[in-house]
Amino acid sequence: PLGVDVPVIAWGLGLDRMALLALGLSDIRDLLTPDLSKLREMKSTPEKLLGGEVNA
Amino acid sequence: MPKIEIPLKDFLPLAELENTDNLESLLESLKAELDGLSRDTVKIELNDTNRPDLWTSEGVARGIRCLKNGAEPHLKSMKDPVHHIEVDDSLAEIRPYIAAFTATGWVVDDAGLESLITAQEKIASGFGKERKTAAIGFYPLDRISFPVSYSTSSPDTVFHPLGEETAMTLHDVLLHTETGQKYAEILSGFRKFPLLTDTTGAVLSFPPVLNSSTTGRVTSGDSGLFCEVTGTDWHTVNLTATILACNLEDRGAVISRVEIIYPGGKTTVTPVIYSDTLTAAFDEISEILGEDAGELDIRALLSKMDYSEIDVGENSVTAVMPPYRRDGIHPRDLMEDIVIAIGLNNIKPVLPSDYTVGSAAPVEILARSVKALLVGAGCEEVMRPVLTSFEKISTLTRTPEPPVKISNPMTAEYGVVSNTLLPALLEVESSSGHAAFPHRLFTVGEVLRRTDGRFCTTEVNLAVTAGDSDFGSVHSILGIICHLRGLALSLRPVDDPRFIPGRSAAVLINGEEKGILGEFHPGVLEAWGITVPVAGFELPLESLKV
Repeated sequence: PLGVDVPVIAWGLGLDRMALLALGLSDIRDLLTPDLSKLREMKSTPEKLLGGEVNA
Repeated sequence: MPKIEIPLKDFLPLAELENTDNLESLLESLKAELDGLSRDTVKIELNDTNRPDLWTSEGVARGIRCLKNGAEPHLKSMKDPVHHIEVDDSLAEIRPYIAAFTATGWVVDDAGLESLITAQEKIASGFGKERKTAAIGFYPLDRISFPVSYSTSSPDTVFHPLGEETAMTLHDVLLHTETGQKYAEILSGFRKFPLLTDTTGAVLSFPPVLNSSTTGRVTSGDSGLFCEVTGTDWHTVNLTATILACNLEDRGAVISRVEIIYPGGKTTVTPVIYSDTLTAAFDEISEILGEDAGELDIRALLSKMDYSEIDVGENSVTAVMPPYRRDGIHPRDLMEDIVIAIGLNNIKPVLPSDYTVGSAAPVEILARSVKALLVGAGCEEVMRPVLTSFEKISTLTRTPEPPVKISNPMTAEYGVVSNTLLPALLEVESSSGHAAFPHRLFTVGEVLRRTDGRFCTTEVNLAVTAGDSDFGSVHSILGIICHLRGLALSLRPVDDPRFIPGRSAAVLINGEEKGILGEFHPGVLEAWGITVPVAGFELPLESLKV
C-alpha cells in the first residue's frame, strides 16, 4: 500500500508524557498553552522525569 | 477496549483449564490482558479491535483451547433452513440487512445467558457502531410462529417492550425509555420504524431498540433460541451472526440456518460460513522472523490459531481463516498469526549486525546556531502546533496565501496546516497581555506551502514578533543575526494585507528576496484581541545559512 515495500514500524515515543513528568504538569493542555507567563514558569527538571512523580 | 467479566465456574471448563495459573500468558496470545481475578470471576480486557469474536467468553475460551489443542471444526453440521424471514423493501433506506439462525439442543443456563447479554452489549456497541451497523436480538424459539417478517411500521404501532410495565407506541419507546433515548438517533428522520413480527402478527422486537416482553425474553431454562442481527452494514451484520453461531455451537447447540428473502426475490442463507484464504511465502516468513521458516512446524502453528485446510507447499503456505474472522487482508496477517503461535516471548532478541550512528540533521544544526543568536538578542523561543485553523491563518492574520486544508479533520481548530508561523506567535501575544514586557518571541518550525497545482512542500521557517514594539525593533533583531552571520540584509517596500501600509517590507538576504517584515495592521491586532502594537518578520531558515 502507498507504494511502500519495506517493513514499517509506527512508534509512539510518549514524549508528551515525559514532558508532563519533567515539567511537573498534570494537564496535557498546559503543554500547548499560548500564555507566555505560564510558559516562562515551566522549568524542566530531569530528576522529576526519572523519579516519576506526577502532580495529580 | 472491551472488558468482559466471566464466572470462573463457566470459564474454566469452557477453556478446558484446570486453574488460572497460566491464564495471564495464554491471554497474551489473544491480545488480551487479565484485568482482575477473584475467587469466582475473571475479568479480561480485550485489546484487538479487529477481533470482535474475542469479546465474549466463548471466543476467549475457544482461543485458549486452540492454542493448546489445535484447530476446531466450526459450523460444519448446521441444519438446512426450515424457517425463513421476509424482508420488506421499505427497510431499504432505513435498516436493510438481517442475518439469523436458530440454536437448539442447548439449555440456557445463568452463565450462558450472561454471556449472550455480554455479546449483545460488547459486539453491538464496539463492532456494530452502537447498534447502528449491527444490533443483536435473542428470542425463545418456541414463542415464534414462522415465517418472521422484517418490515417497517408506523411510529404509532403499539407493543409491550421488555423491561417496561405497559405497552407503548414505538414513538414513546424512543422518547420515554432509557434504551429508546439512547438509540433514538439511529432512527432519526425516518417516518416508519423497523419491526420484527411473526405470522400471528405478534411483535418480536423493535430493532435496534428493544425486544417485546412477550416473545422477546430469554430466561434460564429455555432450550431453543432464535437469534437475529439487523443493521445498516451487510458485512458487520453477517460476521456478527456467524460469531454468535460459532459461540452457541461451542456451548453445545445445534445451529439451523435461516433463509432471508430480500425484496425482489434475492435470497441468502445465514449464518454465512466465511472462509478467507491467506497465502505467505516461506522466504518472506523467514525474513520477518529472522530464522528459517523451513525449520518450523507451520501446520501446527497455524492450527493453534484455528486455521484450517492448511496447505504447506514447497515455497509457501496457504490456509483458511476460521469463519468468525474477517481480519485477514494481507499475507502479513498470516505471518502475524504464525508469530503469535510461536509466542512473542519465545523469540530471541538479536543485536543488529549493521547499524548507523544517530546525529543531528543539518537543518537542526543550522537552527541551533540561529536560535543561540536570537536568545543572545534577548528573544524567547516558543513552540506551537503545526496544525491550526483557517480562522487563525487567514481571517485573523490576513495571510495572503491560503493554507492547505485537511480533508477530514477531527476539529476545525486543527483543520489546516500552517503555511506561516506568524499567526502562532500572534496567538501567544494575544494570550500574554499580562505577561511582563518586553515580549520578543521567536519560533522555528515547519510550514506547508503549495507549490504548483496539487503539490506542496514543507519548509522550515523562522518567525520573530515583538510585542509593544515597532518596525525598528524587529528590523534590528534581524539585522544583528545577519550581521553576525556575515549576510547582507536589505529591505524593499512591499504591500501586504497583514501589515500597516508603508510599514511593510520584503526581506532580501544577499540581494535575494526571502521573507517579509512589518508592523501588524491594527485590524489584525484587534481581531486577535492584542492591545499593543506588534511587529514581526518571517523567512525560511535556510536563507540564514552561511
